[in-house]
Amino acid sequence: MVTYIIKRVLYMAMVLFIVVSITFFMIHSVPGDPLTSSVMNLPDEVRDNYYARYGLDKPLFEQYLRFWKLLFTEGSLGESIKYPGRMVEEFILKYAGISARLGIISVVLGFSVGTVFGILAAIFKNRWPDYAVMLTAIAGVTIPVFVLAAVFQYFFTVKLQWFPTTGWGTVKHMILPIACMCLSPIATYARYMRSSALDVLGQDYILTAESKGVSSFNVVKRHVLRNSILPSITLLGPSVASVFTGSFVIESMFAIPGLGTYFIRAINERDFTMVLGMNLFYCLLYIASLLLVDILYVFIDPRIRLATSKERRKKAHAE
Amino acid sequence: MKKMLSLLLALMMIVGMMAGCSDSSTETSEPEEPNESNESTEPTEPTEPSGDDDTSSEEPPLDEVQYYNINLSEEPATLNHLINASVAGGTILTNILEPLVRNEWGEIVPAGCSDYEISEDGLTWTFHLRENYWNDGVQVTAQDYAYTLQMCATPATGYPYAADMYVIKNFEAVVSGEMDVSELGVNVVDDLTLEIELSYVCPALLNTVSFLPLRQDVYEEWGDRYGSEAETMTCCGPFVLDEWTHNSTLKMSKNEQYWDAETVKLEDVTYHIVTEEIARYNMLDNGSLDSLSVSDVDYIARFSAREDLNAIHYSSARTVMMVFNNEDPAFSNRNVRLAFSLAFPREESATYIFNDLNEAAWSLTPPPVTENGVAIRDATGEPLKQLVADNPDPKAVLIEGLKELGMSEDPADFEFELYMSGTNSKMHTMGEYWQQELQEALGCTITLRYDDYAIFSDNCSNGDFQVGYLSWGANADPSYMFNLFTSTSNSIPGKHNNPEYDELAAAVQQELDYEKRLEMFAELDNMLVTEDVAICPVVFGGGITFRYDYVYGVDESAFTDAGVKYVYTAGRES
Repeated sequence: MVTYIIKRVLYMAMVLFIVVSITFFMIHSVPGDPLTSSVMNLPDEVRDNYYARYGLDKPLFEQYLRFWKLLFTEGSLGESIKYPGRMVEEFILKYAGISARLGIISVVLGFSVGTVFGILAAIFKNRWPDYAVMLTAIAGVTIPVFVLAAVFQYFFTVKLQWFPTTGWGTVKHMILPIACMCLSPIATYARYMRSSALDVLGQDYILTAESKGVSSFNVVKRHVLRNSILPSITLLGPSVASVFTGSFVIESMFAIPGLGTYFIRAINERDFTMVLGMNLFYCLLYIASLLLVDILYVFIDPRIRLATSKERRKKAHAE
Repeated sequence: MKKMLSLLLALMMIVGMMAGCSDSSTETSEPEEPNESNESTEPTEPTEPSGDDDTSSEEPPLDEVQYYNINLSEEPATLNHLINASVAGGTILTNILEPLVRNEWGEIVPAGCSDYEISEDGLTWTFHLRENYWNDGVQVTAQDYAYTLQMCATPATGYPYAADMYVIKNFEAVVSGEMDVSELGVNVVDDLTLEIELSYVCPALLNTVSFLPLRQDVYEEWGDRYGSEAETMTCCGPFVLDEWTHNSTLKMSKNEQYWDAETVKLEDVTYHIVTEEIARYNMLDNGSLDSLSVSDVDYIARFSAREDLNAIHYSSARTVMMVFNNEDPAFSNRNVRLAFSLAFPREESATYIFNDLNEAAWSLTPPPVTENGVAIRDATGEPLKQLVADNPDPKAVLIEGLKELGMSEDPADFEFELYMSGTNSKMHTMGEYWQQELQEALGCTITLRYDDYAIFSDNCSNGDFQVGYLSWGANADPSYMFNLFTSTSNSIPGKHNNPEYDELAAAVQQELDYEKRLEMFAELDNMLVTEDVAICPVVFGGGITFRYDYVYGVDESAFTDAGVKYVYTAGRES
């Protein structure tokens, strides 16, 4: 297990390196630079100074080396070009938390409510709870989040005036964004859960458990839930990564100072350092969460082994 | 209506008072007591309701709690005014820093200075500062204003508007590293006297340059981080920046140390950074915002129907235009350019594309750009209109042009590309509309290209375009707009090159006679639009602001930098 994890971490580092390198050369190959994207009328001398400040006057490969050097020697992702005086790691440290607070709540809510809904739908297959859950699920998957946000905002902040329209700081500010963000996960998890729970419910061991006299609550808890949750866990990994980078749509709709806005805008503004730094961060989270999910499998399903083939052979030999 | 009238009257009184000291040329006029002008903004004198006015005309008494919520359309990249290039940044800065003079209701009025003198040769301007304090209690000195200029000229700063500052003696040499910053034409005579030397006579100096102060000790303490957070800067304007939640809100409160604190009524001002249009409309709808510019037709209709909202039409002092690449093989020909401009559906575009919020443009300068009170646009006589009337068949003009170029005389063989500076749906709507209309009128084939502004701008400055769609903001100084088209400017990518034009554009900057200046500006405009046909004007930017009727004291003029200094509320439902 330990060897496996070390090996995976090494692979991760490699993937990270490749992704960041590709991103670097891709973003630099797009026409336009941070200077041309803002309307400025600079004398040549000032322009040169400006480029020199961010190392943009150097050959591309030198800039590429500069990025890694800065990262390893100073642990810095560099200064944002669009927001002078602010380092990219500062943005991540400061705003990933805000995005994460919203994201984690909506994923946890989405996952738990979705799971419960899915199992209920499976147990009451073709009866009204099933239809109700599936209707919600279809709505949750098909309604785009910006439509939902606009409708919720209008209804709850203009018509009913229950919540503030935009802003950040209090619990009241979080309710609408979370409501918008968790509907889609609820729908997704409910659908996955329903189909895999249906599968499990038809198994012989459920019949056995029932005939042994296990209460139906325990059947669901001990057998159905544990056996049918794996597909949902697989989905959970990638969604955890996106939690930290935030939802661009939700954040700009509700003026939430999260990371999502920067993540998207940096690309349009050709903020090279920001794009690279954010990409590195996102990529790291993504592959780390994939690893975590793999490890989680072992605890949920004892049939899964993460050992490498060599270890397994050794074990088999010992037995 | 009456309310508006009384307000207008009050405003005129202030302007009248302040105008008195702005025109001081050689003699020093004593400034009016600041609290005098302050009184005139107060809603103290309700005008008698006249018979024909059915609405109540009395202005309610001032609200006890004075606060104001407005929108900021984007996050300011920085509040360091040495490198700020965004409108959003400027909006905030004008409220928290005190410039030497401000443009209020279309007039230049003393702000950080109490008065100023111009030497007889017009080359030395002396500013006498008021007693004003930074929010940490330190007095604002002439050194603070001089420091800004010195830092702007330092090449390492990367001041984005350096080219506009060449009017200051030696600025160009310092910014290009040929001279030391100590040789810049800025002298601190004493703590409250600042002297600025010019490289040429420039009557429009105060319209061109905004002189903001900067504390050297604070700037050096924070270095690159100056102005990136509320904590990393000091304020000396009507308001103090208390809190900056990036991408969400900017909160400021009244600056009690401010020299004119008595005039300032608002205690708290919050700028909400909301980039999503619908969210903004919802905020206005439920009163989270007190004022908002609205561009969506459906929402305009909805808000117009509300009685507690006033609709204010404004001109944004922008010109939307098509720029021709004068070095393109086909568009190097005047007749080809002219045919395009003649065939262009201006009025139709203003109505169908811009929903009548914008006005069709027949000249370069937008209506708010004036010289001595007369709009340049009006002075031009708009000869393009006459040209269109004289040439009912633009196709014939195109054929003429093609003939001169030695190309096939059949317009159907002529193909060119219209380059749009954006990729959103609005750009596509516009592009497709113009493609269809122009193809019909000219009988040629038009292709469309869309790119994000960064790519568009890059390609255009490399000459990789034929006709480009561009929108450009004007400046209170008319020269600004015309200087964009001189052969040495690299702002507008058309490569317009006319020595006669360059000469006139340079001469007008030093011309002192207002009548002559107006004439020269009009001539420049006509040269560009009808003689050289360097651009095809499309529309002048404009819009509509909806504001709750309890808000007073907003300066609506196009080039104002009054900020929210004079704003107050009266009759807000609590």
